[in-house]
Amino acid sequence: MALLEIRNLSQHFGGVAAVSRLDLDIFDSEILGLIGPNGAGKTTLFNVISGFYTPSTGSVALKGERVSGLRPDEIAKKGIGRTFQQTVLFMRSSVFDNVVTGFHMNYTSGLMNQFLHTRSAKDEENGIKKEAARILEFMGLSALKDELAQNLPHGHQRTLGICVALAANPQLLLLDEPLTGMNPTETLTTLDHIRQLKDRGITIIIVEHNMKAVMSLCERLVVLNHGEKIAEGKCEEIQDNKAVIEAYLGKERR
Amino acid sequence: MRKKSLIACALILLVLLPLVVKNPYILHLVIYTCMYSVLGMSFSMMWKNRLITAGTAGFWAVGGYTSALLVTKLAVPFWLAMPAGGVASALFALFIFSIALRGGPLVFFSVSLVSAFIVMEVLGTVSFFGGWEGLLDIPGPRIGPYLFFTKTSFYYMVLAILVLNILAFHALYTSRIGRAWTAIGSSTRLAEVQGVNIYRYRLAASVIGCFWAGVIGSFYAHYQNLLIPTTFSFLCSIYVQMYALIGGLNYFIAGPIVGSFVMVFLPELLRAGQEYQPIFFGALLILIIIFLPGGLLSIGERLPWLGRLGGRIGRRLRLVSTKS
Repeated sequence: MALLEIRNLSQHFGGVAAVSRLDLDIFDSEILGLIGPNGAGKTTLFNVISGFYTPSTGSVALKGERVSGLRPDEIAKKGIGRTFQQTVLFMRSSVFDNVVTGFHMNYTSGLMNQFLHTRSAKDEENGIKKEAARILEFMGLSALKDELAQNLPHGHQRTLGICVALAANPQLLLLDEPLTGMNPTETLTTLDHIRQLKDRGITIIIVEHNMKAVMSLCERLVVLNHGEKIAEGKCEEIQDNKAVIEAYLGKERR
Repeated sequence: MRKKSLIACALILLVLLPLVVKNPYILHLVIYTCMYSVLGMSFSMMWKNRLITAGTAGFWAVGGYTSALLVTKLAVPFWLAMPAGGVASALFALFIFSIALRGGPLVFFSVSLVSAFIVMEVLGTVSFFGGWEGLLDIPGPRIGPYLFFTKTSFYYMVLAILVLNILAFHALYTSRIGRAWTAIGSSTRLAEVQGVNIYRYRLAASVIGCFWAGVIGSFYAHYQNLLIPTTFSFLCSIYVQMYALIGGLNYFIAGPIVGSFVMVFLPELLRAGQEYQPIFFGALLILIIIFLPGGLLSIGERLPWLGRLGGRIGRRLRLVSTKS
């Protein structure tokens, strides 16, 4: 069974169909590439899956359980994490605090314990700080942990965005153009990190315009254009697909 | 533990203050400073969630009237009436803000503003509350056989309330709850994606903030021995916002305290007449917004010659951890 099932999904804004009648399955522990020209509806699809929009028709289900229609924080609790196309961070907090804040849902001690700073709350806090340090270590940001998020170079901010998303311990991670603004070295390291995340059992959907990176990373691609799925399949198949080439370059003239 | 000893020193100085300050008028101003600090911290707690309340005075009034009526009409002991004032204010906040917050921050602002106006109108027109002439002859606080009468005794009481308030808010701000509030204030989108229920956390902040506004309202009622509806006007809420802003909006505890202190004492030092006070306040506000947008407390972080120490103290006061 698919991890995420999208059935007959449409999202209208006034008269415009940003996503239209989309059927899509995402399987456990895969990296799915979502590509398409600007305005194809990729980010809208992410916003629907993560709960910022309630779909006009159709449904999204995680492990057979319907999640469309829930609030973003409820969907996050079900195990769907995401990053944003524009860099969205807790800008005036330190890198470390950003990740610790990301752990919000992982606390089990009650609010009263939290308020009174009891022993169990402190132990939990320390455990979470250790976890946060581990995530930063893994993504290579340990050296910058006391820096304010707003002072980081853009590439590091993108990486920090992934760290924060990881703190929520997601099963399904939606990455919205994670490589934007990264230099070639950073791109390679980030791709490597994403592969490692997959090996740890996190399913990933990635929207990215860097085709070389997408081709090297994903087993499967889905191409959207004007909100509709125009192609789906292995990378090689997609590369030669006529509809895809037309969508990107326009129709061939006779 | 240099931090702890510093706090202990400050507390001892505050406790010894009445021995040094013999002038009852100065002590009266200190009491007002403490009172406005509590109100300002209530405003700041909502501001931390990027909610602007324009109704602090309304909740202050709800607490004050509840406590005063409980003592005068039902002969409830003062030590019960004071928390009851806070609870009444918190329940009132729970009722209106649980509806208003469904509409977001702008609706919150309007509703807080309107509800404070309604509170004032109701208190003024319904004769049960004493009308526009006010509720008179409210007895002074009595705990057991001890009757609070002197300025010094009132000073200790308000100091105790302020310290309790600071402790409670500090505990909240440094816990996971405070972190969720910071997250909401920084980016609601990212906070939501990390699983923060924005509605619930914002509601909690409003209710807790209004609880303390109610408690200090009860203190005010029994300190002044009378309540006049026009005291709790819109202007009063605006002053509270100004105090928080002048101290520094990002200093959620220290900002309102410093702002209140400056704004209560500065007009006295300048011996400005009552009628010129709004002009003076307005001018100072404009100067602060232009030259120190982070408030008076941000001086340390803005002046390079104060160096790293200034920055570190500033971050401490903003409750931003310097080291993990």
